Amino acid sequence: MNEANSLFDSIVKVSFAMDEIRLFLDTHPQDEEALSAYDKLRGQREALVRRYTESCGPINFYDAGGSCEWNWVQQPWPWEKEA
Amino acid sequence: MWSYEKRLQFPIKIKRPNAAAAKVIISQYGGPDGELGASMRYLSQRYTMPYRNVAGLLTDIGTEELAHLEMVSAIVYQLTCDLSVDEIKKEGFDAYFVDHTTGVWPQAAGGVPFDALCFASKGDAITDLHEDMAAEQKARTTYDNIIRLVDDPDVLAPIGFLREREIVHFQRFGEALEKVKDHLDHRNFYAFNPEFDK
Repeated sequence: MNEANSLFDSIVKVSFAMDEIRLFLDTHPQDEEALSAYDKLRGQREALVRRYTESCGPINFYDAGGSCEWNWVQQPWPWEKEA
Repeated sequence: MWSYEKRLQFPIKIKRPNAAAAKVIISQYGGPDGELGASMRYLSQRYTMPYRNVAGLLTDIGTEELAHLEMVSAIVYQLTCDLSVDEIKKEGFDAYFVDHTTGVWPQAAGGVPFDALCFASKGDAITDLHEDMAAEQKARTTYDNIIRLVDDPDVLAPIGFLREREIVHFQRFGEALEKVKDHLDHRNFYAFNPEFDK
């Protein structure tokens, strides 16, 4: 697995952990362990997304841009087999 | 407002086309217990839900269901994108093909188009949360049935993931129902409807 793939894989995993804890926190809003896990994962995710966006292109559309060409539509879409 | 991320919630990489599998899996896109109905159910119900934590859960699960709708569509797309006409005929995909080619369109496995009547937004917190818990179990049964019909591990991995999410959502909706009951009259939970009787 190359670096870009392994970075992307980490983003998917960390994001899913946050998806799971978010729902748990909706019904357990004072659970200290879940609050602290979410906080830790948010920091990890921000760093991973920043690294991926800088080296491979945007994941979130608010991070899209480009100096001479719009980079939002250059990478494969997530449903493509090449993604 | 939603913010699009260019990634699936769980990766999907299907190597072998399989029209017969696509034909049954499409039900979890546009069928009676599919992900389109699931996302619209929760995102419709949330406006009149008077408790912010439960409205938040409906928003967050409704949003995750949009990601599941994308996953099911991606599975159908990858199962059908390299089919030959011979395979389409042999695997019984011709009835779908004649109307949609290999475009993704929301229908049940039996060909019934997506119908908003497959989900309810009743404007009553107890009624809606029972609907949501039942909906998660019906979707779980449908994924169990798909697992009986499909043998490609590339397909079974994301289908197994989606099945597990139904169980987690059922659990969270059950907890939300208990939270709603805390606000109600314990001698008669039906004494008033918190979404209407202010």
